[in-house]
Amino acid sequence: MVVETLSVRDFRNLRSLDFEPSLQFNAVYGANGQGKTSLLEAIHFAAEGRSFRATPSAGLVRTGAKLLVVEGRVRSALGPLDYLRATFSAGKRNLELNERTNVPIDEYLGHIRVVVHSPEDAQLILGPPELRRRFLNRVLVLTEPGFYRTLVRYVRALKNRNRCLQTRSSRAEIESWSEVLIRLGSQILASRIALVARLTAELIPSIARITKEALPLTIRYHAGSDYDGEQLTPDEAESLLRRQSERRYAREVRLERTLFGPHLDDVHFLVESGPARRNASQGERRSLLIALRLAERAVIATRTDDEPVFLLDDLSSELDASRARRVIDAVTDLSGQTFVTGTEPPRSHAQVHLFQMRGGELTAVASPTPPTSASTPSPSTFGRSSS
Amino acid sequence: MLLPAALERLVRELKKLPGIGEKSAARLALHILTSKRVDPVALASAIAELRQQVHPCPICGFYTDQPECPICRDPNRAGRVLCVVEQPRDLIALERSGGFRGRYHVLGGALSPLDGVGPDALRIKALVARVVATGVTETILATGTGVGGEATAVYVARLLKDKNVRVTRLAHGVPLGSELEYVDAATLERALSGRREF
Repeated sequence: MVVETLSVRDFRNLRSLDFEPSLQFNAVYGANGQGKTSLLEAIHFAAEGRSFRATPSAGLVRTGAKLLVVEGRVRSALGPLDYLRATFSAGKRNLELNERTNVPIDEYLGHIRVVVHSPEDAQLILGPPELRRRFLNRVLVLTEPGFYRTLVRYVRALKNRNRCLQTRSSRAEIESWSEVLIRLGSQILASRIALVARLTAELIPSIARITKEALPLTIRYHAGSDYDGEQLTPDEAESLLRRQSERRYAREVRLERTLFGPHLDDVHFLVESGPARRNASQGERRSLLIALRLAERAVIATRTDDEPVFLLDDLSSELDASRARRVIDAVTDLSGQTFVTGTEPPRSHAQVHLFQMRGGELTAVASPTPPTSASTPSPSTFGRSSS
Repeated sequence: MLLPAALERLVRELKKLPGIGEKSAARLALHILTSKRVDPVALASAIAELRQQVHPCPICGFYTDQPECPICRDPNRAGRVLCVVEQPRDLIALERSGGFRGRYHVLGGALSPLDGVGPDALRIKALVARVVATGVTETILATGTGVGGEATAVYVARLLKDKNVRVTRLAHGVPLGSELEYVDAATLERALSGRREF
């Protein structure tokens, strides 16, 4: 999948920007605060209608503006060209797909799939379990038809069941909601466990790509003390949840909330000596997170038969120069479209297309070694600063 | 607004209807005021008499203007097969399909604790009593596929478990004319587990 064109209006500090990226490797560099991250956020906004950073969408509208618009033409491996347009104004988001307005998010998603690595990824290891559940859910929404709907139904059933517990409904009524929750929850559980296994398998080669040191690393799905990390068929997932629901019922009545199900699960990242949160060095954690994103990228590519767009924000702040170079090398070896930001242009690569970001305006910079590939646009000047 | 009081009053009443906002209400009210095709007296009396004459059938819960509805009175219908639906409109849809010759039971909704709808707000006790009293042999649960419809089906099925009646659920599957690759995993799984001899 590739972003062929991107237009941004009043998004963070980007006033007006029109961009025709290379279909391969794009490096955007510039001093801090010039709009590099905003550009990646805008691509993410076009893809999913929200930023990858923990900012409410209202905060994305440029100060002084009322309406933000991100639109772009994207193309998937099978050829279809889609025109995406995402706007936000006065508390309301509107997603447009091929000129159809108010497209529901589950129809909108997936026309361009992106994988992001940013400094905020540290929260995946250090932050609350919710972030890790959301990480898995997002990959599943992008790769499994119907997963989004199952999630929505699950949440609705969960809220209803919790209300039953709060209002002391009859056990028969609570249990009919348990049954609905177990059926939906077991689908979510089985999908997540299968995804974790796939990510784990991709993690080893991903780590090897970016670091010379061996870093034995595993990811484990955690679904309560009576789950041992094995693969589960949907039927087995269902009986696990059924067991848990029976065993925890008395406590649920006391605490007035549901105490079983995938909304309580977690993912543990483990290095040899224990949880990465405690036992991995900062450098190891960063390598782990980049490897995790590479693994995510590989899983999405395999499951959808299409390379997602890879967004790497601010690598230089994360890694020392030699590690950053290894990552850039690893990423340039991948097929698929990539956007990298940093304060300095990366060491020259034949395939790199350089852009400089200054005060929210983007300028193409001729690479020291000009690109030879015919499929990429020749360097030209973009943005309003063109002179 | 500058509307005359009578017009304003009608707009206010129309706005209470589902799907009718300020603009639609004003348009309808003006139409009623000026159109030659609309007879306001006939319209008003039709509305007024609706609630006087139409009431739920005491047996099945569908609407009728008779002591019992025509389906419950129809001797040619299989009285021992009962189809349980949420709303009268579901019954109308099933009748339109023409594929069912049994009788119905309208629950009047689905379980929805978030909206304060528990089992007692639905005609579930009446259903169980009817199954026991009239010797129903099969109950088809045709409640909706939303989570509320599912929970309701589970709830009713459990109540009927020891009542010596076969309980079935409307089959869920691949919509006619759709491509398998676009059908979501949950639907496909149900379609597979509910497959039939060919």
